Amino acid sequence: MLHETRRWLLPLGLCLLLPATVAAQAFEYAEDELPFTLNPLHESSMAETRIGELLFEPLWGLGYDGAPEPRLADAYELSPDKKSMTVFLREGLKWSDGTPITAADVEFTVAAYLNPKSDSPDRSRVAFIKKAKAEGESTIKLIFHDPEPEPLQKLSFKILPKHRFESTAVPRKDPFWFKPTSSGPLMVESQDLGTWSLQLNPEAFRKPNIDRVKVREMPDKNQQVSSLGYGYIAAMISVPGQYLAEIERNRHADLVPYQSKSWWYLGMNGKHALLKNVAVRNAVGKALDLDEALALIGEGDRISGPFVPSSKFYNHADSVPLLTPDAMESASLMEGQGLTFEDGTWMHKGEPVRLRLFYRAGLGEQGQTVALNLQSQLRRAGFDAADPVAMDKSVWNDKVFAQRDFDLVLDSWSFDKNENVYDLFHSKGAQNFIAYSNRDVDSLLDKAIAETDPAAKVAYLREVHRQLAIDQPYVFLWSLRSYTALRREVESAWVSPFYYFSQFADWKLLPKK
Amino acid sequence: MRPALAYLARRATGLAAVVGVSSALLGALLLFAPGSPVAEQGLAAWLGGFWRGVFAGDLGPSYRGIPVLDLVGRGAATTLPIVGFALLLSLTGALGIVLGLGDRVAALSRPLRLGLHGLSLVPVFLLGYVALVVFGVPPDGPRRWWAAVFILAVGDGTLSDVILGLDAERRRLVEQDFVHSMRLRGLPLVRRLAPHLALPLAQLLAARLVFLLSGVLVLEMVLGIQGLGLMGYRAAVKADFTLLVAIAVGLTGLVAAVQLGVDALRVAVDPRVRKDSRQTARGSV
Repeated sequence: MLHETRRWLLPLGLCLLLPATVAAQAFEYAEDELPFTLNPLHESSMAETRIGELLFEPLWGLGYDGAPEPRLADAYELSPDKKSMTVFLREGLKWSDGTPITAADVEFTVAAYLNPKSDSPDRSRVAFIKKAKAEGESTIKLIFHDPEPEPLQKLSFKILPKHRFESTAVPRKDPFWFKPTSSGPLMVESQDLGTWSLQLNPEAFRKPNIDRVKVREMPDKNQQVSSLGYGYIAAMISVPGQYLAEIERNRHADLVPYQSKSWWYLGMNGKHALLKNVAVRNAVGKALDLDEALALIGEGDRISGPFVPSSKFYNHADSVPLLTPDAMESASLMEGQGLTFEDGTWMHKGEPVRLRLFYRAGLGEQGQTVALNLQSQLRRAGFDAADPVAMDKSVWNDKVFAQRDFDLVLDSWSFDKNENVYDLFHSKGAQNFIAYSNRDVDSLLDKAIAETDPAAKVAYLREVHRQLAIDQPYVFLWSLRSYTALRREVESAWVSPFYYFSQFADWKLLPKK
Repeated sequence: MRPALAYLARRATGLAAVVGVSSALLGALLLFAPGSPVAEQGLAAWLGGFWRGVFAGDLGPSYRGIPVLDLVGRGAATTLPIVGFALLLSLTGALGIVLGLGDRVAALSRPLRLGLHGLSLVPVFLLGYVALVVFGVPPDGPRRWWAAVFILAVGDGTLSDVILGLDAERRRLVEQDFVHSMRLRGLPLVRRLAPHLALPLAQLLAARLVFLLSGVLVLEMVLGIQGLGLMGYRAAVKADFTLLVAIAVGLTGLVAAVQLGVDALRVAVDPRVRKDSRQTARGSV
C-alpha cells in the first residue's frame, strides 16, 4: 500500500518543490486589499486611486516634471479675473465602447461630483468649480467660486462617461463600479474575488506598451515579497520597513523610493473635557517620544505641522521646532491645569485621566505597532490609556467623524499636489472631526484659499503651520519614507508622488530572464 | 417513526439549536462592536431579521456589493474543497502508513517517527510561509491549491492525530477475539474490519474538521486564497456584521451537519447504539 501511495505522493511533492519557471506576461501587481469600486466618484482608498489611473483620464494629469500635462484637454483660456476658464478637448477622443468623449461628459462629471446624492468622498476636490457648461462638442466653460490662479493642477479628477448614467446622482451600487467604460490606457477584462484583470483599451489616446495588467489582492506582505522574488508579480506597491533589506538583497527586484504627500498624526478630541485645553494637549505631546515610535516602523521625517518637510508650505523656522519628549514639562503642564499625580496616575476630579485610542485599520501592522507604542508611552507617563482599537473606514466614519466618540485617534492624511488643509483645521471644515477652532487659523485659511498670489499663499499657510504647532490639535508625527519595489523586467517606470501610475503608458515589461 | 430515526431527529434538533444559539451569542457579542446594527436594532429584532433573510435566501448586499449569501457560497466553494481534500489526503496518508506498514509503524525508527510527528505539529501558517518562501508557491493556480491541501492535511497536528488514532484503533481491533479467530480461519481481514474502523475514523475526522476549518482560515490569509477565512477577516475589518455572522453560522452549521452524519453512521454500524437509541426513544414517549 505504501508503494501505491508513493505513486501520487511523488508528483504532488515535485509539484510543490519546483520553483516557478514561467511568469505571466501581464504586468501583475499586488495590493494589500483589492480595489473595491472602479467608479472614480466613490474612490476611497489609494488602491482604488491607482487602478483608476489605469482606467480613466483627467483633463490634466501629472507630468514627468511635476507640472500638469494635458490629457483629455488640449488647450485652455483663463479669464483675466481668473474666475472662469474655457477648456478645449482633444479631437477624436473616444471611450472604450467607441462613444466620443465630449464636453458633455466633463459637464456631467462636475455635476455628479457636486451632487450630494452621489456621496462622493472627493466632492471637495471639485468644490472650487461653481458650474461647468458645455459649449459645443469639445469646448467646456468652467466657472469658479473664487479666482483660481493655478487651476490646472486641480483639474486632475477623472472624467466619467455621461452616457453610462441616468442622472448626476450616482449611487454607489450603480453597475459602473464593476463594469466601467474607460478612457485610460486600459479597460476591464474580467474580475473575480481576488483579482481585476485589465486589457488594452483600443480607443485609448495614450496607448500603453504593456497591454495587460492584473491587480491581485495579497493581504500578507510576506506573500507579496515572496511573489515579487519569484516573479509572480512585477510590482509591490508599498514596502514596509522590515522588508526593505530582504528586497535589497533580491537580484531580480529594485526598491524605488517615492515621495508621498502624506503624514501621520495623533488627533485629539476638542470636545473632550481635558483635551480641549491646549496645555493638556501639549502635555500629551511632551509625554511622547515620537522618535521611539517612528523607529519601530521604518524611516521617515518627523514633522511639526500639517505639511511634509519638502512642501513649500512647511514652516522650517526655528520658532516651529519638532516636538521633543520632556516628562518634566509635561508634568508641569498637567499640574498647571489642576491635575494631580497619584500612585503613578494622573487624576482629574478624583478619577484617573482615561484616554481611548483608536486607529484606522488601513494603517495595517504599522498602525498597530505605533498605537501600542503610544499607549505604552502614555501609560508610562501616567495616563490611563486603554488598549488601542483598530477601526475600518466605515466604522471610523460613523464613530469618529459622525459621533466624535473618541479621545485620541491615530491616522494619516494623504494629499494631492494642492495639499489643501482647509477642511482639516477650519472650524467649518468638512473633515475637522476633532472640533478644532481658532479664529486666527480660520482667517489664515480663508485668506490662503482666496489668495491669487502664490507667494502670499505660502506665507499664510506657513503661519497656519506655526499656529497649529502651538495649538496642537494633532500631535503631528511624521511623513514616512515610502518605497515601492519593481522587478527589473519593468523598464521606464516612473512612480510619481501620490499618483503611482500617472505615466504607466510609457512603462515597459521585458521578457523575464 | 423508527426509533433510530427518532434518535437522529432529536440529535438534528439539538444541533440546529446549537447553530441558533451560536448566532444569538455572536449577535450578543456584536452589541459591543462599534457601529454595529445589532446595537441599533436590538438583538432580538436583528436576529429575527437575520434568520428571516437566511430562510428567504436574501441577506442583502455585502461590503463588496455582492449579495451576502452569494459571497458566502463562493467562499464556501473555495474553502470546503480544500478542507475536504485535506481530510481525504490526511486519511489516505494515515491509512497508507498504518495499514500498509501494520505493526511496523511502532517499529519505525524513533527519529523517523519524531520527524513525522514534528512536521505535523508545525502550525499551518508557518508551513504556509515555508511554502511561499522556500518552495515559491504561486499566488494562484493548482500548485497553490495543492499546497493548501497538503499543508492542511499535515499541519496543526492533523496527520499525526489521524495516524495515532488510526493506529490505536487498529491495535485495539487486532487484539479482539473475533479477529484472532478470523486469522486462524484464514479469512480476509480488511473487508471485515472496515465497518469496525468506519465509526472511530468518522469520529476522528469530525473532530479534526473544526481544527481544519480554523487552520484554513489562517492559511487563506497567508496564501491569499479568496475563501471563507479571508472573507471573514475582511467582513470583520469592514464591519460587515451580517456577512461575518453568516460565515460563522455557516461553519457552525457545517460542523453540526458533519456531527449528525457521524451520529447516523453510528446508528448504522453499531448495534449497541441502535439498542440504546430505541430504549431512549421509548423512554421519551
